Amino acid sequence: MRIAVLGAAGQLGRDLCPRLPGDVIALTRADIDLSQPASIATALATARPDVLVNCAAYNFVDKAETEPEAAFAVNAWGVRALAQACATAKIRLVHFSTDYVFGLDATRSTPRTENDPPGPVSVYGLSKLAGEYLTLSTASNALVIRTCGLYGVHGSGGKGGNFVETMLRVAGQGKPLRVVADQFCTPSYTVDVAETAIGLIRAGASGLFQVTNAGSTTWHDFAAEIFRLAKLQADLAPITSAQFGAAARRPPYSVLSNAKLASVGVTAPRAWQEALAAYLVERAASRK
Amino acid sequence: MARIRIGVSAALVFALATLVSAQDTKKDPPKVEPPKVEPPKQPEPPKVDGRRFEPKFEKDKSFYQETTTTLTQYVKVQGQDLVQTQSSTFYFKWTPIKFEGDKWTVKQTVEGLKMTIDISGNQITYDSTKGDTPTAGNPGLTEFFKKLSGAEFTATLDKNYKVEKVEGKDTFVKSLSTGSPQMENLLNKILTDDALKDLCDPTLKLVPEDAPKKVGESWTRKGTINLGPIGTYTITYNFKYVGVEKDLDKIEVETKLEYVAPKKDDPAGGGLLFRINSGTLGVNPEKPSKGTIMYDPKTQRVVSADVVINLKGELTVAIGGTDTKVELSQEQKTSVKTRDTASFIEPKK
Repeated sequence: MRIAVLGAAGQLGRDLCPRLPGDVIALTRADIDLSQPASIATALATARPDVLVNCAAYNFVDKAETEPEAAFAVNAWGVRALAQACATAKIRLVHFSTDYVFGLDATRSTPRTENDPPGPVSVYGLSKLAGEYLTLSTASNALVIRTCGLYGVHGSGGKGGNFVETMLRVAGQGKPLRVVADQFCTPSYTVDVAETAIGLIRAGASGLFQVTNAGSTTWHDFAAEIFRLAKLQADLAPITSAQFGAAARRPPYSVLSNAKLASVGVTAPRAWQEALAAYLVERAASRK
Repeated sequence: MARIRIGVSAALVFALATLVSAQDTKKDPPKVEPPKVEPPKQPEPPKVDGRRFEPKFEKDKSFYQETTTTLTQYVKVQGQDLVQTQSSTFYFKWTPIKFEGDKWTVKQTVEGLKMTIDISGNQITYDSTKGDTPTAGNPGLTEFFKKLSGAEFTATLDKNYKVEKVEGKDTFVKSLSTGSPQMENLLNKILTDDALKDLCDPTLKLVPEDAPKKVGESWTRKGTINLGPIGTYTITYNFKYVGVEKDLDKIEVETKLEYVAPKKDDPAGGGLLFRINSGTLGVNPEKPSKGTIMYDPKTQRVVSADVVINLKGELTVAIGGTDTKVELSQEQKTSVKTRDTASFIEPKK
C-alpha cells in the first residue's frame, strides 16, 4: 500500500509518517498548495498513492476572523478540490478536522459524539466544518478524523511550537502565566492521534470519527499538570476567555467522545495525563 | 361555511323536537310506533354564483395529503459552485376535530416521510415507510427524521380558512432537539409562528378572501413568512380560475416573492453559523414560477396541485467580520395529492 501524507513536515505529519505501514510518500506545500488547487492533480499523478492523508490546514484561528477567504480557500475549497481529485483517481482520502466545529451549544457538559449537530463559533471552525462536509460529500469512502489541541515534539511550524513548549518556556523565564480556565477540551498527543488514525486506516473505516486522548481538562489545569510533571514552580493563575480576549471565540466545551472507535475495533487513546507524561519523556529523550 | 351552520341548526331543532316529544310521552304514552326519522343530511352547498374553493371538513373524518417537493439549488460562494438537490415526500393526515363559532380546528399528523438529499454527489436517504432502517449517507439524521414522523400540530382556521394559530410547536421542538439547547434554540428561531402557519395550512391558500370566483376571474392571496435569522419572505399567489376539466375546476397560480434580510440590530439575525446582512432574492424572471391546482367541487377538496417556484438572487453573508457574496438560484417543484384514505402510504415492511 502506498500512503501519501500531505502536511508531512507539520506537527502531526512528522509523527504520522514514520508509523505508517507500506510505502510512505511525504508531501509538503511545495508539492500541493491547497490554496492553489491546480497543483493537486499533477502531484497525485506523480505520487500514485492508494491512500492520501491530509494533515495540511490553515490553522491561524484568530487571524481567520479577519481573512475568512484565506481560511476557506485552504480548509474548505482546497479540501474539496483534494477530495474531487482523490475520487477521480480512486484514492482513499483521510482528512483531519477539529473540535472547533463545536461551540454554539454553550451549555453542553457531556462529550460530543460524531452525531451531535456541530455549531462553530469562529471562522476557522466554520471553514473546517465546511471541509468536513465537502470531503464526505465529494469522496464517498473518505475518512474524516476530528481531533483536539494537538501537541507533539516537532511542534507546529506555523504557530512556532505547541502549548506545552510555550508553557515550559515562559515558566522557565520566570514570567507569570495567565491561562484560560473556562474552556474544557482534551489536549491530545500527536503520537497517540497518529497511531489511532493508522488503526482506522487499517480497519478500512470511512465516515466521521473522533480521536483524542481520553478525559477532559481546561488549558489552565493542563498547564498545572505540565508543571507538576516537569517539577517546575510556575506563577500560574486562571483567567476567563473574556479576560484573555482572543480575536476568535473558542468552544467552551469541546470534549469529544471516542466511543465510536470501538465500533470498528480500534482502541481509543490513553488518558491525557498519561499522554502528557509520555510526551515529556519523549521530549527529554529528543534533547539528549 | 353557511352549509355547516345550517347543519348544526337542523340538529338542534331535531334535538329540541325530540325533547318536547319525550316530555309529551310522559303525559300520554303513544300507542303507535314512533315515526322513522332520517338522520339529518349534510345540507347542499348554498347556490352561489361562482366558486370559493373551500375545503369540506367533517368532524373526525380524516383525509390525507401526499406532498412531494424537489429542490435543486445552485450556490456560488467565494468563486466556488455548490449544487444541492433534495427531494422530500411528506404524508400528512388531516383530522377536523372541532367546529366552534365559525372556526375549524384541524389536527395535522406527519404519517410518514421520504427524504433524498444529494450534496455534490453524496446521497443521504431516509424512508419511514421502510421501517427502522438507518439513513444512508448520514446515520445521525435517522433519529432526526424518525422524530419528524409522528409529529402533530393543531391548527385553528378562521372563517376564510386562514390559519389563525398553531399549537404543538413546543412538543415538536423538544422532540427534535433531543436535549440539545443549540438545536432547540435554532428550531425556535426558525420555526416562527408565520412558518408554522404556512406549514399547517390544508388549503394551499386557495380560498379567495372576497367574493366567489367564476371561470376567467382572478384573485390574490398574500402571505408574509418571517423565518427569523433567515429573513422574511412576502409571497403573493395570483390565482386564476381557468375552467373545468373532467368535472374538476382548474386553477392556475403564479407566485411572486420578495425577500427582506434580517435587520442588522435584530437579535433574530443571530443564531446561525453566519449572519445574512442583505439580500435581493426574488422569483427568477427568466424562468416561470407557475402551477396548476385541480379542485373537485363535489368533494370540495384540492385533488392535486403542481407548482414550480424559481428563485434567483444574491445574499450578503457575514462570516466572521467579513461580508461574503452568495449567489443563489433554485428551482422548487411541489406536487400535492389529496385522498380519503392513507392508501398512498406504503405499508411498513
